[in-house]
Amino acid sequence: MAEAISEQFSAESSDDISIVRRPVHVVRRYPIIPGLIILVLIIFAIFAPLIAPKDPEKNNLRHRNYPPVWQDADMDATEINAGREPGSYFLGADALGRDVFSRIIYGARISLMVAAIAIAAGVTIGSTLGLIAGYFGGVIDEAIMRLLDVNSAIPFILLALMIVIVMGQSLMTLIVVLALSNWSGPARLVRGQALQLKTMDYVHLSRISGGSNTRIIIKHILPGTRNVIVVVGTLEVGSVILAESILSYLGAGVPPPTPAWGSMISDGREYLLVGSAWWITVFPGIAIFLTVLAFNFLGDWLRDKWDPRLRQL
Amino acid sequence: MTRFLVRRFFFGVLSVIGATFIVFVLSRLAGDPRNLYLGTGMLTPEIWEQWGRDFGLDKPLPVQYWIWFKDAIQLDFGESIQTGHQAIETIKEKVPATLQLAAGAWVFALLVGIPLGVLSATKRSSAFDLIGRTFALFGQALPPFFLGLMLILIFSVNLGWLPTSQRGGWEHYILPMVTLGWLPAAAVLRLVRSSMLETLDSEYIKLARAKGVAEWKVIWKHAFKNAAIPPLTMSALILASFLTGTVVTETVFAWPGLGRLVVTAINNNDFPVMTGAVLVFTVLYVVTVFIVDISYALIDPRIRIK
Repeated sequence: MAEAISEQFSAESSDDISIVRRPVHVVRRYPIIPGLIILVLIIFAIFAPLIAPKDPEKNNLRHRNYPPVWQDADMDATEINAGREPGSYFLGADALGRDVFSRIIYGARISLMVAAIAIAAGVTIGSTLGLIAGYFGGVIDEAIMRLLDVNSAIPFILLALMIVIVMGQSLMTLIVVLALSNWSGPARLVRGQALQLKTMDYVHLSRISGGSNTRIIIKHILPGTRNVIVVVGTLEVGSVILAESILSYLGAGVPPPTPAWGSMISDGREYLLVGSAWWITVFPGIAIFLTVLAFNFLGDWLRDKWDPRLRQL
Repeated sequence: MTRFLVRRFFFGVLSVIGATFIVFVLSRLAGDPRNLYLGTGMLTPEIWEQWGRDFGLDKPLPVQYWIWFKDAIQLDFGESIQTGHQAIETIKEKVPATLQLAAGAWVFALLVGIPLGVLSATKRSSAFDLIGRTFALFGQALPPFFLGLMLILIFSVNLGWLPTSQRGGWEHYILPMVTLGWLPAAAVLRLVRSSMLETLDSEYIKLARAKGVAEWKVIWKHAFKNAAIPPLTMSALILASFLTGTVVTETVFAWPGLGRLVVTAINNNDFPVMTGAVLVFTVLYVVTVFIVDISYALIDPRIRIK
């Protein structure tokens, strides 16, 4: 993406960008669309009760698998008599007659909250271990690196399923599991960064003037790794939301009836397979897709802006 | 080189032990395995006590792990609690289905990733580039189970071309293969693309072009051969990552493989099958990483010295 942008820019000088083309350039240059998507998600998450047209957990069995607004116009008289009114469900209703649109809005709340806490925890733990490993080196470094090896040798989903069984299914468990899924990336990257930074002159000078290890790490090494941490944290959002949706799909994520995108997809599966009520599955899937895409774009943009060396991420 | 190999091998073994220990402890924390027999009526207080001694349940966890581990390295994981068969037999039964699926997805990833990667590197900003990028974008942001369901919706439910689930003739392989192979294909594509761009920039390519070598020959014979090394080595790692991916894909397509087996085993706390299957997954992963490490060291001497 960024290559295309830079090509675009090197190809023509900034003078001859016409008024018509300027908005296009702005959209390509800055992550405006991803930013808008994330903004909408955050608004959804904060103001869910005000925005959602219906209660996301309220069943209405008379409206089971009610079609979305543009498909219910050709409803026949018997159905209208049975209490179904056209246009009452924007994105349709699920098998229990719950409003899919409202559930998606509340789902944004759960997904973002869980992802934010899990990433804050995972990145904090990972970066701390990475700093310690990179700065001290030797046996400590070796031990932490081997821990990372063990972590990557256990298939994540299986580990997650087992932890959920041991701890019981709850939001807390989900956050712990997701934090476990994303500490290794930051750990490796921050360690690499710390290895470089500790050879810098200003670090040596600080040590000569009597700075303690803690002081050097916090005052001199940590600030140098800030960009890496923010970039990797942003890029992790997408993968954490994907992991959360996979666990919810497998029935080990957010406990029901709280709406979560992954479990909504799983709820609609049996109807999809027989060719009815596709909306139960498709819309939450699109929500996950757009969210992950938006955070990935934002992360890519931050990386290219701050630290193009991290390209391989 | 020998030192490097020994070191790597030692770390590999360490990873397997660490990983299985964690899994073992988790399975014990999930509850006393004897509880699972409570409903069957075959459990008298005497049998309860005897099993406690047989399984070593009265001993501390590391000792229990050691008892399990001694049998496990001889591929004896005990009897499945659900079926009563030897866990290793159940696992052996399921491995071929998973390996076939993984191999198919790997081929799919290479068949799609390599040509699209080369085309999007050589014809930048063309339709191929656009297709390649869109493909990669979808691979990274679509949840794999959702991708599988959408493929089922389009090709099975609406078009009726392919079966929705289960294992069977060749047509049963297509959708699971594509589902599992999509993300890896996107990864291969990106690697091939960047590797090709780098190679095409080198001196000998300019020389070949200056000599008047045909463009397709420059691309496929001169550049691709060299550019293919990193993606091919990486694709072994991708194969290792499939092992986790199969859990989701097999669940979506009701594929009778190791991934589904292990999910069922975890849900029933069938610890002999569960720990056995996780051991298989872990060993496969560690062995693959080991091979990749060695092949990297053979290709690039700098790694050995480090």
